[in-house]
Amino acid sequence: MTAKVGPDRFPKDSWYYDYYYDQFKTVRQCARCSFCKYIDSWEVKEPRFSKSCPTNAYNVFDAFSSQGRNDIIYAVLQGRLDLDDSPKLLDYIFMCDTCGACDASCKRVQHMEVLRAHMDFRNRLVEEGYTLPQHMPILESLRENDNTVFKEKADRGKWAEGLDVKKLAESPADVVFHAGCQLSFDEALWSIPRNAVSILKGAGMDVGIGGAEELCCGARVFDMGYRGEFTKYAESNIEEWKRVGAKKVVTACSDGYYIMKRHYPDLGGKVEVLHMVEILLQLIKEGSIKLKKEIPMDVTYHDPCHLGRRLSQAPGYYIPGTAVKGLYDEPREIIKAIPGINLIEMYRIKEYAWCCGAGGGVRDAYPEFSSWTADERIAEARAVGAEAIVTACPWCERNFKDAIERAGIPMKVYDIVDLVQEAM
Amino acid sequence: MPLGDEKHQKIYEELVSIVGEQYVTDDPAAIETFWREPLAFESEERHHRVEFIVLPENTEDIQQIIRLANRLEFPYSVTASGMMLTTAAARKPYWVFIHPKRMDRIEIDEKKRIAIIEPTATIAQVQSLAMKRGFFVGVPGAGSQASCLGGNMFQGIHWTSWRTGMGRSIMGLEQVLPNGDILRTGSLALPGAGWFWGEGPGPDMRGLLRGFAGHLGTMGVVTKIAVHLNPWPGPAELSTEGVQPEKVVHLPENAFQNFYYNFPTLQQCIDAMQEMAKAEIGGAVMKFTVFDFVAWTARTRDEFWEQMYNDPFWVRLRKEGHLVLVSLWAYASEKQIAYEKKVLEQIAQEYEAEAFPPEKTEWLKRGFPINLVRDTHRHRFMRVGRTGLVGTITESLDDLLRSFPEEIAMRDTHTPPFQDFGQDAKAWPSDFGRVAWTEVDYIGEKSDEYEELVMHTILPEYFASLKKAGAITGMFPLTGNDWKSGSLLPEGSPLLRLQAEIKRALDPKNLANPTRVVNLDEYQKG
Repeated sequence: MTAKVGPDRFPKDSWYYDYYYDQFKTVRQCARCSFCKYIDSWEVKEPRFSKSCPTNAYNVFDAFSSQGRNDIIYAVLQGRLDLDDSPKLLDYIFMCDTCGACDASCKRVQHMEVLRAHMDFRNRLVEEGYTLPQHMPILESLRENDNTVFKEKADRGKWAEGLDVKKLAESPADVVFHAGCQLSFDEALWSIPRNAVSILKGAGMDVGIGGAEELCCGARVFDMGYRGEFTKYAESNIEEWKRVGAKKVVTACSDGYYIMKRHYPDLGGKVEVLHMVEILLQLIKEGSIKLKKEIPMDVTYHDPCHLGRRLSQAPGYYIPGTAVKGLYDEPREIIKAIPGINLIEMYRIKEYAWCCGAGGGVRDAYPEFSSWTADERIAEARAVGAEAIVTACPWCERNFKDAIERAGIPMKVYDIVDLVQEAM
Repeated sequence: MPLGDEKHQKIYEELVSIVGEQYVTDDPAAIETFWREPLAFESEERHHRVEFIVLPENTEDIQQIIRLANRLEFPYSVTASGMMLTTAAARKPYWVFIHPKRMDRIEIDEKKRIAIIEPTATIAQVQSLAMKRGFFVGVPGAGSQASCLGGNMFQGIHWTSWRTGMGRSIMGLEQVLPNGDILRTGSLALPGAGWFWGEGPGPDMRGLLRGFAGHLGTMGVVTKIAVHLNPWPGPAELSTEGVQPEKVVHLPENAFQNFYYNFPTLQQCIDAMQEMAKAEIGGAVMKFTVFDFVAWTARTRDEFWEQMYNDPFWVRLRKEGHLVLVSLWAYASEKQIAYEKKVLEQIAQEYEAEAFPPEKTEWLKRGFPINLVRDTHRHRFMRVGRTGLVGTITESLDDLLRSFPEEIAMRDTHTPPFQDFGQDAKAWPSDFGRVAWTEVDYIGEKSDEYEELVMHTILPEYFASLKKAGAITGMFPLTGNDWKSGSLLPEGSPLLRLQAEIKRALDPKNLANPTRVVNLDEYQKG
């Protein structure tokens, strides 16, 4: 860009003045500053809650960190480390929530897309046959039943039983509500899609659901590195939405929202994708939803990674120097609009939020680590005095519910949709 | 490296017996994560790897590891966050890297105004607890996410060392000596006295082991220190706005005010700083370059290049600037700032300083003054390549008049390929200007061409200039890239002999981070 710097002088490599993504240059540029292991230094208020990387905090070794993964990938790309050299290589790469906290911190000082570099390396491992055995059941479940949670395909639409809503197989609809795997099969969470559909219908929208025919969105397998599988499901969903003439796809799942919003367009997806928090806020602002009932409760909000920072960490969405954006304000505005409720912030929020522990395939592959990550978040919520933790993703909710049960504490977990329904 | 041989296996098993299998690794991929850092010359470092990484939980674990090292005869080293990892990178077979990452406990003693910290407690963590009690700890260039203990043991320079001093923050100190004994210095030497003071009965062991840039683990492993806490005139918690990297923190202007000046000559610049020192004004006084100001503040590489090379103000200052940042703090009251501001303005006028225009002062607010307190921006210099140094020494402020022109000339002989940095350099004065850490920086690409130039041309020139100047200490010998001697002291000097004899007495097998500071193998041959 600048005329006075250029190929005849320093820097010769245009990467230093005209940023573009390059996996090798990204991992080489790592300077071991350790920003990736902690939240933004300005935000540190309590040492106990100042770490950002669950995998590093849990495993301690730097191989389980963004810096360590950069070093490992660098060694492989330089040919100094063969994929067969390390018995633990797959753990170092796959025991990661892909939460993107490292990436957000790194962008404080560097122009680096480290998460993208790590995800690309996952994909390379998968393509070269270096797969994690623990991931195989998920893949089998997907191939046999079109879901990642080991359930029968025929049961996918049970959450909507008795609900007066169109089935896309029978009639077209302007708005497709995509429940996703977790909400479709986790009975304890069925109130969320049911309330979501009621709210959408109540707002006068022409809503339809896939029911038993709905397919996985592919988000889980994408983060696990299986891009071929992801593409298959993404293309099928895009085709289905085209067939039914959908104008919008709405979901209450953050993983699904991220993948449909950020990756489907690369495969030809043209339908507008919305998360329920966007719909709810719009309806509250325009007065279509009236929050009348008082909910006198101290709550905290957990930012799901895929509804937050991951949205600006997708390929093609990084603009150097600009904020690591996500839907941070929308859910907070909704909560604050509820009478009587008191929103208390945790120590790690928004772009530096601590992960719930369910992402990147670790819930199935490394359950102890996944549980520990959720336990840490619940401990943080308790430390700020919250009676309930509110979020906007069923994967987070399931992990938190399990953590609370393990801890034997009275804390409640709310999806924001249910909270709004309760206040209506 | 004899990975997997009998001795390797024996060391591995013994380490496991000390800390447990979960906290020892010799996995080749994990080993790859312990050799790079910003100043490492990759072409050199690629040849070396540690063989083991071990994560002790406490002082007793470290004591056992060191005793094991003596029994099985393997070298070992230690760093905390790893910003200066090449000071501890492997140089010999069977090398064990002790990573005290599980040791991050912090205890604040409000009454004694100290924080007792373990190696991997970060500066931001310590500061967050201190600020709530009206104190702060200084932050070095390594950043707030770096080890508080490591920074204090290495150089003990903070952005605020102008007032709080260099290398003076350490009170009580605990370390495991190379023979496995635990040494407790300062007030800790007296049973029950606690951590409150750095000096104890008899010779000051802290000074013997610390020196100008610490002992880099060559005299054992420091496991806990007390750092003194300074008064903090700011809020108990930092209040941020926005989302990073657009985030901002505004410190209250009645407690913190920054001033930026350009002096007509280096002589006037130094004289003015000396006057500020005599008047004892300022919470921080830094002689920064255009590069520092722009690199800290620019949010993107594009903005950096644009400001550095196209903005008329910075272009002019790059050619003829002698720049100083003065940060005034209301330690006592708002009246202190009013008084110091008056004195500062008089000094600025006397030495014909040009104040930065308001739009530049406003732009710089993104990076200053908050980063002098809790630094997160300084590392932005790494975005534009890798920074190197042709001149980095600790000297008196007056010596800048000699060193800067010499070192800048040295850099200019290689510009291009280095980028044109102008005629200024950085000085980081401490103790009201009695001593200054100085840097003459350049930026280079991460490429083989750059490595070749630095390793075989610039570093030898730099060494020669340091020897000629009789500088107290330079950076590169400490960061150690296969230098035969880790010391800049002339061969045969009594001080070198003293250092070597202490090392030999404590570590006769030369196992504690060998080759650094004093290369005992070379010394014993000589």
